[in-house]
Amino acid sequence: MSAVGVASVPIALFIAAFTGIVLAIQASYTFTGTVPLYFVGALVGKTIILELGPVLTGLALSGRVGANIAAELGTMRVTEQIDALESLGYDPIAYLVVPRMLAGFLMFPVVVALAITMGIAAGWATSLSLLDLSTPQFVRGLRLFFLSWDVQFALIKSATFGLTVTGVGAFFGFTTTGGAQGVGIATTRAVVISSMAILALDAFWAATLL
Amino acid sequence: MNRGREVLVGAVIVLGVAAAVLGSLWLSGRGFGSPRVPLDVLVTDAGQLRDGNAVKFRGVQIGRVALIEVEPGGAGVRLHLLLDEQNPLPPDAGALVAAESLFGEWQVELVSKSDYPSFEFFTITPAIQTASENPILGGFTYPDISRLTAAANAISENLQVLTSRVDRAFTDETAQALSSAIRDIQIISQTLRSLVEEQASTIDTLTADVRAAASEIAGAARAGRSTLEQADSLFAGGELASILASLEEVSSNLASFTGELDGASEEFSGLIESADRTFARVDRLTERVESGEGLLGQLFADSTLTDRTTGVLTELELLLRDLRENPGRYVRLSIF
Repeated sequence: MSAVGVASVPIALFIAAFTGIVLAIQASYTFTGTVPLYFVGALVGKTIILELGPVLTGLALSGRVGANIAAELGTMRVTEQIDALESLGYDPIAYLVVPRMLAGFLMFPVVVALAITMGIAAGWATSLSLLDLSTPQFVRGLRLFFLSWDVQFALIKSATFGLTVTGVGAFFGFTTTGGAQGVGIATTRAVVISSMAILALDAFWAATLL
Repeated sequence: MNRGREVLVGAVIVLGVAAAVLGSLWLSGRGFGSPRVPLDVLVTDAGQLRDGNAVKFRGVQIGRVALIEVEPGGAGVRLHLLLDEQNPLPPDAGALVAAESLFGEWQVELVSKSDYPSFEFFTITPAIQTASENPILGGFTYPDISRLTAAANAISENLQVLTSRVDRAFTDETAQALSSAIRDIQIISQTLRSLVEEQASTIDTLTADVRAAASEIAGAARAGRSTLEQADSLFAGGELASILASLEEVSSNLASFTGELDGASEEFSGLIESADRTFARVDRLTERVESGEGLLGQLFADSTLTDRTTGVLTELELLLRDLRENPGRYVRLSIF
């Protein structure tokens, strides 16, 4: 959980912060003259909660966590450590895969929640400092179309992203063949496939839960 | 995993959960432990209202929409509101469900029904009131933008029909007639303007006269009032009786004067008859003169007599002159 969650927090916060800044600026650029500026808050909140927070965090963690798991398990596979566990009577899936997937399932929502908070805070700070917007206006926009279900939807989605990223990484790591080159290939495949899976899952959940 | 890492993981999890839970509560407008007052509203249609939309009273947000559900019988929609604190609502309170702005935000506004007499608020029967767990109000929902768009579309179609009819009716001839009418109106307008300008001074004078007449009338009224007051005083003072007595005396004098006038009239009649007779004699005399009777008639009729008479008169005049110049020739005055 430390490697999957805690170690992923800085990169997730970094991505979310800049996402919030860019969203606020682009929203004001789009809205000026046509739509009241307090809608910047609505756009920042809704977009980060529903889409960018979970998906960008998921994509970032697929590169970081998925690649890590695939490389670690792939190396264990090519160095026959997994075979050794099996020979000692341990179930390598239960010992190596399930804890990682469980950690991904639990920690991804936590990381995404922190990322969403950071993204909204960054958007708010940007609105105050760079845009002609006050805190009450931003909060008004933020609350305008907010539904509690949006947060639940984001957390459910990110939990499935965590399962997918760790599961795909573990799968490609477990099936690694061919030594160091095979580990590299497995890592690359894990990142690519988990990223695609995240986008597919995003569309799936949007179609089924919203 | 050492202890420090476990603590860090726990802290991150707690932070993440807290961010999600508290953030959701804050953004949905739910207070953290502050008391909430439930209030239900029944409307026929919820429009674009959503959970979490604002509830306002006199323009101030006092709560949020907690839940929206269709009534079991399908007769309406029940809005569950949670108000921040107990606000003194008007006795005939109702709820208006309407768009807060043109950008899709809706709100519930608690109002006095008497301020909106044309709105048909949902009627809350005693049975509904009894069955409701929370205090309940009747609400009215403004039509949403789709209904307004549909209405605008219908209006647009009607306008299109009207325009086509106008197109058919508005031919070149109509346009010319209209143009002519406009010109006539302009001419009439100018004439009226000049007439008004001309009559302005007259009207001013008339106004002044009217004002003077009014003041005179007022003066007359004052005089009349004083006269009436005098009459009142006369009536009141008993002087009328003496006036009436005087009038009686004057009347009797007039009667006697009338009798004298009658006598004088009779004498005058006799005088006229005498004059008539005299005039008749003169007429007869004149006829005789004209016919040459008598001396005067001969004088008028015979010019010789006239000439002789004239000669005699001339000689008499000469004689008198000579007598005046030479009196001694004719008068001998001897004292001794």
